[in-house]
Amino acid sequence: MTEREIQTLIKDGDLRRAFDAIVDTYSERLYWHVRRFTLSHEDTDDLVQDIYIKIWNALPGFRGDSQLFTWIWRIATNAALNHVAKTRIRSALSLSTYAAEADRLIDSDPWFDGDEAERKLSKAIARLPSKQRTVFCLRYYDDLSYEQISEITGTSVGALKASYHFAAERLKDLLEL
Amino acid sequence: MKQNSHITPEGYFNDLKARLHSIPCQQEMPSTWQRVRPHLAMAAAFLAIVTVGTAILRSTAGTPAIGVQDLDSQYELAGLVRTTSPYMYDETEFEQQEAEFSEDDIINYLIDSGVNIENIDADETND
Repeated sequence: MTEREIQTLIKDGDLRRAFDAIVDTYSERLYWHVRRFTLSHEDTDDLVQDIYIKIWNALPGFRGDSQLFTWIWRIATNAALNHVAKTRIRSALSLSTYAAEADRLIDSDPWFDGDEAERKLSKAIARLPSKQRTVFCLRYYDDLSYEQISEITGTSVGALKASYHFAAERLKDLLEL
Repeated sequence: MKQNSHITPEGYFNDLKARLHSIPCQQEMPSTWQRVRPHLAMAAAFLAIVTVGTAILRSTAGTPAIGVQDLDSQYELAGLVRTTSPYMYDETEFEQQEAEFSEDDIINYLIDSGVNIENIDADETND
């Protein structure tokens, strides 16, 4: 089902069918987007369910002011960043660092199927500040336009381009390229 | 979208979608009764507190005021008043009051109250 058709269902009040369509259309892609933040399959599984509960509860209030996709991704990105923030706090309380925790999650992930370069890239991305990490992942992995990222994050296109540039430079340093 | 460097358990996404599809059933809107129930419970609790409080206050409201004699006892106990009969203070006044009534007054009173004179004579004779 296309986004326009789903929006029509929402507008007509057929929320159940609209929600089912959102599950079928976006759930797998949403999973991978969230996975890049949680670095864990189990945490991603839990978080995706929480995100869809939020989507279901917020669906009656969707007015069509923005694209459905960017609306969904905004909910998901905020939830993922909250998860990262909680992990940071937990790490600090256990006298560790988020970077160390991220490395541990990546190294111990039984579902990692990449090579050593991809492992290093994952670790480097986890070290980026939240905003740079978000922009980089949405641009590099999800191939979104700066306009779409601007709708998701509420940040101007110019600021996003700057963030992406700084993120790329930082990654080069971390990967010693 | 770039290729992922991660994999998922076999059949994971079918299972995930099935779980996600069940969310609306789990998140059903509460019925009117379910929405009103917490407010009713609070109102009932408030009413119970007011009723019990009123009953307690009423049960203690009938307690009689402490008598003057009881007060005296309490003051004695407190050492505020000498342990002597209060009538000691009024003894002189009492004697004076007693002296105000003569025998004639008493006789006149008896006549006025309708007592037979013969009975009065009889009383004087008996003295």
